[in-house]
Amino acid sequence: MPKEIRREEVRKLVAAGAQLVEVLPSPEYEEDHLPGAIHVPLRKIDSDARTVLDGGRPVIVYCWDTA
Amino acid sequence: MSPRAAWRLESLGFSEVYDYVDGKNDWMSAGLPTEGTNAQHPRAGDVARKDVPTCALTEKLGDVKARVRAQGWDAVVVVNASRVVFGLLRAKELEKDPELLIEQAMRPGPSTFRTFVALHEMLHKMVDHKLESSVISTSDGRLVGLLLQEDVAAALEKDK
Amino acid sequence: MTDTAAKEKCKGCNREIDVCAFCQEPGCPAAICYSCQNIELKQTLPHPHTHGG
Repeated sequence: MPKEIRREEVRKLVAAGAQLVEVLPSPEYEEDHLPGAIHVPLRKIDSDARTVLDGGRPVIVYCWDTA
Repeated sequence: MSPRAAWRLESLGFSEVYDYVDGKNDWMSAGLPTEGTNAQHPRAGDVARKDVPTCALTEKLGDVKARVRAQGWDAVVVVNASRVVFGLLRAKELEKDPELLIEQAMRPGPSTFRTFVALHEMLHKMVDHKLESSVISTSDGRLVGLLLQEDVAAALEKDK
Repeated sequence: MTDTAAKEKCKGCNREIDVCAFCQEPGCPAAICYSCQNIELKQTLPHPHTHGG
C-alpha cells in the first residue's frame, strides 16, 4: 500500500535517492515542477513507468493537491 | 489523483511507492523553489517587501502611525507573535482617530496571496481593482511581505 | 422591512457575492469571487482538470 507523506519526508527521501514523479499533464509540468521531478503523466504510467523509472529506487508521486 | 498513480505503480511491480498527497500546491505555497518556465520569472514572493512594518492588535493607532511614517511607509500589517496576518492598515486607516486600538482601526482579514502567483497576474488585478498594495502570505497565513504595485510594474519591465 | 441592498455579482461566474474577494471594496467594478480569483491567479487548478497528459 503506498504511504502518504508530507513535505518534509519528501525532502528527506529525495536526499536519500528517491525518484520524484509529477503525474499532471504537460502544460502544468513544464510551467512548474518540483526540482528534479520526472514527468510521467497519469495516462502514461502504464506505458512508460517501467522504462522511465528505476524499479530499484523508491518513487514519490505527486499532483497539484488532494483533488 | 496521485493515489491512483501510486497504486498503479505498485501493481506494476514498484516496491517502495510514496504519495505526496498535498502536492505541488503545498510545495509552492511553502515558498520552496521549483523548476520550469515559470520559475525563470520573478513572482509575487520575490518582489514583496519583506521589511513591511508590522504591529499588534493591542497597540494604539497613533503610536503605530508615528513609527510607520518614521520608517517611510504608509502601510502596516497587523500580525500576532507567529506572524499570522490579522489585518492591514493603509493610508486611509492610518488617518483614523489616533486613540483607537489597532484592532478597531484596521481592515480585518485582508485578502492575501501566495508567493508563487505570477507578477503579471497580480499587476493586472491590482490595476483593475485600484490596489496599491497586496499582502503576500504562506498557506498557513503567515506574513511574507507586502507587494507594491509600483514594484510589480518595475520588476515586469526589467524582466522583459 | 426587506433588504434592498444590491448584491455584488462575480465577473467570472456571475454568482452573488458579499464583496470582491480581491480588494474587499463594496461596489468594485471588477468584483470577483474567491473561487474564480484562485483559478485566475493559478493558486488552484480549475475543476475538473485532467491528469492524463
